[in-house]
Amino acid sequence: MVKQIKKRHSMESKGDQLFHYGVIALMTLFAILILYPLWFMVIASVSNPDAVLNGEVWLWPDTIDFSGYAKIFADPQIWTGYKNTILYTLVGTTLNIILTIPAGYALSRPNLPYRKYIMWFFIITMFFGGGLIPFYFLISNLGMIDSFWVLIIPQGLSVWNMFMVKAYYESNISIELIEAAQVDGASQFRTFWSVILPISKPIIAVMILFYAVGRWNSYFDAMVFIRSEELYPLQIVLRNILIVNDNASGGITGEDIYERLRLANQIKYGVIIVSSLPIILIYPLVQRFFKEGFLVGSFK
Amino acid sequence: MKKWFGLLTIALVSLALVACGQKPSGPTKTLDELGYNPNGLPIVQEVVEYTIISPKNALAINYNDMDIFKKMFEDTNVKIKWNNLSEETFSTTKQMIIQDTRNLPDAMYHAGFSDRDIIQYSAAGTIIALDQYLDNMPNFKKILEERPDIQKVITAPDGHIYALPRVEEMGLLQHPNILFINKDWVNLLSSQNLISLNGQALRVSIEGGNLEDTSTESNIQLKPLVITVNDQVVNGFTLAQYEAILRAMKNNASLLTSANLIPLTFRFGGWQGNQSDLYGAFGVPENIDHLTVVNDQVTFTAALDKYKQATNFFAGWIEEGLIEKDVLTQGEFDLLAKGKGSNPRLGSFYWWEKETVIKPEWQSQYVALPPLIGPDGKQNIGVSNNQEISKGNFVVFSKAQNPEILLTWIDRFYDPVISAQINYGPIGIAYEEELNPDGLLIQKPIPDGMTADELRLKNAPMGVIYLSYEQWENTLVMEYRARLRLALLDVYIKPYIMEGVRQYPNVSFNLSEMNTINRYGTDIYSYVYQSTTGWLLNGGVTDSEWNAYVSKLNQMKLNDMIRAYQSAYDRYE
Repeated sequence: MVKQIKKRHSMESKGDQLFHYGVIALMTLFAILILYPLWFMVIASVSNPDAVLNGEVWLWPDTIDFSGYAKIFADPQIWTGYKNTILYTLVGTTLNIILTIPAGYALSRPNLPYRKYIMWFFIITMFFGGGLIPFYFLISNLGMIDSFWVLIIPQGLSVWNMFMVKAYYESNISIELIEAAQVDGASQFRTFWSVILPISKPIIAVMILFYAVGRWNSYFDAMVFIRSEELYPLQIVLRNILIVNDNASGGITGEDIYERLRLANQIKYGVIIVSSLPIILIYPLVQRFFKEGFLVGSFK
Repeated sequence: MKKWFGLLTIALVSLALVACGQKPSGPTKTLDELGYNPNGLPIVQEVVEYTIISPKNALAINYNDMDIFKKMFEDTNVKIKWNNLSEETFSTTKQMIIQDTRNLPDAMYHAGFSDRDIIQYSAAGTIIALDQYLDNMPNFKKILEERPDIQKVITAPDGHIYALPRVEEMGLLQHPNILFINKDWVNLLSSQNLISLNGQALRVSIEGGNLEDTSTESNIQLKPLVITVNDQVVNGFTLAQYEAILRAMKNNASLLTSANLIPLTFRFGGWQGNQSDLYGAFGVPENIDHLTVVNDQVTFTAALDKYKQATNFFAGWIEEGLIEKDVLTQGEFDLLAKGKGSNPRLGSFYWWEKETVIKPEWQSQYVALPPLIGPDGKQNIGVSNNQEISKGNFVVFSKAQNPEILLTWIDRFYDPVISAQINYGPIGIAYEEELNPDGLLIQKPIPDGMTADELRLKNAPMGVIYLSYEQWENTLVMEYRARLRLALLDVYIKPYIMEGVRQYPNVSFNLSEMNTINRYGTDIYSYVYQSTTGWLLNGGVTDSEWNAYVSKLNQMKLNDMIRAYQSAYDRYE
């Protein structure tokens, strides 16, 4: 590989070579710009928080100290939050897929009755929303405040994602394929289940990724609707640890603010690593589908 | 095709209407049937249940599990179903919870009702007036009789009381700043003749100021502080002398510490440790609201000519690096961390107390200083507007059945012994079971691995209490650090409060005053903040800039805003 590059270099003109090195230098700079914050997070998570705050840590950790991580792993709330987030993500994403893929497929078929009206029905929700207050009253009257399902059901379907699925099917599934299935005697459901689904892996993978990342990172609905600590997702637990300046219910004195902020600063970086690791790990697994299908499918 | 949609719409609408029409209501028992007794225990013979919604601190355990509330249920037979939410959820959804009238709880604790909330929701009939039930609240009634000032504070413009207050009078909040200095550094610099003023060496010494060796937990004694300048005992430093000291610290940093030395730091506009006392040296009765009462006149300090002088003067200090630029941007944690590096960094600082800022091993190096002597030769400071009586802590919604029972229950919170437990934690956890020789509640030693605040936040709900000045003599022992700070305030702060200056009291605004203040206040305050910080960073303000600033403030209806504050104040007086 290196040899090849060298060989190619020798055939290039001086100007080309210069350009080449310029590009490499520029890209290295960009890579550093992107990698440095990640690196900083890693070293800050094992350093003394006072040193981090006084600007004494910037390239190498001043000590290797895992007490921040020890605190993270010893905190039962973080574990409950972790468990809950995994549950919300698994159950929620499953529901999303069950709703989005069939809906997208159905809307992609020109012979769907009332297709135009159904489309408008969905599109309207993309431009107009009731706002938070009516939404709160709705949820409250459905009796879903402070329940597990409030984080699952109202976010069941993203119209944007559904249209992406629809576009995928419109451009990737030929009418002949469906006709062939029907000639063989398959019903609509059978066609979808046995013919369409097996060739939908790329779009399903992409949808799983989109929904799962969204679910993993979401906090606002949980903040508004979840009250019991046993139901907190990880993001809310982290917010409660990191954001300590709000004290409507009383009397934190300076020392405690300092202790809590110190704790927050000590575990902040570790917590960011711990909480984003699962999502970072998913990317390589689904990346090949991105290359294969997703872009080809919807934006051809 | 269209018919279908029509039918569907009708079906949905009628479904919604049917759902709205239902309202559960059971038969209500009368007070007599329940065996209600407002003046003794239990309050009711039969268990009565209420739902109260309340935010809680992230460190606190669920209120349903708190010992103090369990004990109160045993005593009263009033069962409270606490519905706790986090502070963030509460502040985001409070208005929605109140407006969601079909699913209202019976009451709200830690309600944080503003004057506007009270006017709005009492007019809408969502919350009920509590003054009609005073006979059901013996403790509260007694407080109002003894303290007409509290009654004045909590009475709404229509003459009713809609919300219960929290009263915690320690005399600390009015003065959130004390100036501390590293006396070892000052003495060292002076001994090497490194402090110079107008080209001449200045001999300075700071002795005493810390605790006496005989000082004990229960009897705090401070060593008298002796400051000498050129061998003469003085009451404090003048601005010029103090500036010379800061400059010497800055120029000889490597002699004093290996860390990056900061001569003076504070938090501009912070609620504790702010710039107010520096402005005070110029005779500005400053606080962070720029609003104070001088001889019964509401005064806006940021438009005074002395405010300009002070800003110009301290802009010079910032330019020279005597005050670090961070004062404008740093958070509390940033400042607190600066006192705790591997070596001391702070030459002097303003804060609530030094214990929070400085590492324990360096405590003895730092002492409090009296206010700086201004150009007129006087030591002056203003008073902050922090209030010890906070309104709007507990409201009862109109759907509560037999509110008398609930109010008699909450009235117990005003019993001094229960107030102490609500505020600091229950007897047996925070307080010793036995009273001390003076008959006061005394705090238990803190369990290992916990800070005092952690213990308190975990076990004490806080909120509705009445701990007035007399309670510290009759009911419970004040925390050590609070008493220590009071001792410091007595020496270094209270004697220097400007004559005729008092804090803007906790008045009740009427609707038109509130509208005026809201309409103009935001713009005025952000303009003042932008201008002042800009001048401080850029070396000061010229006379023409200042005149433009003052006339702009007048255009922004500063006078209307002050008039609104004044009329509310006059009504209060």
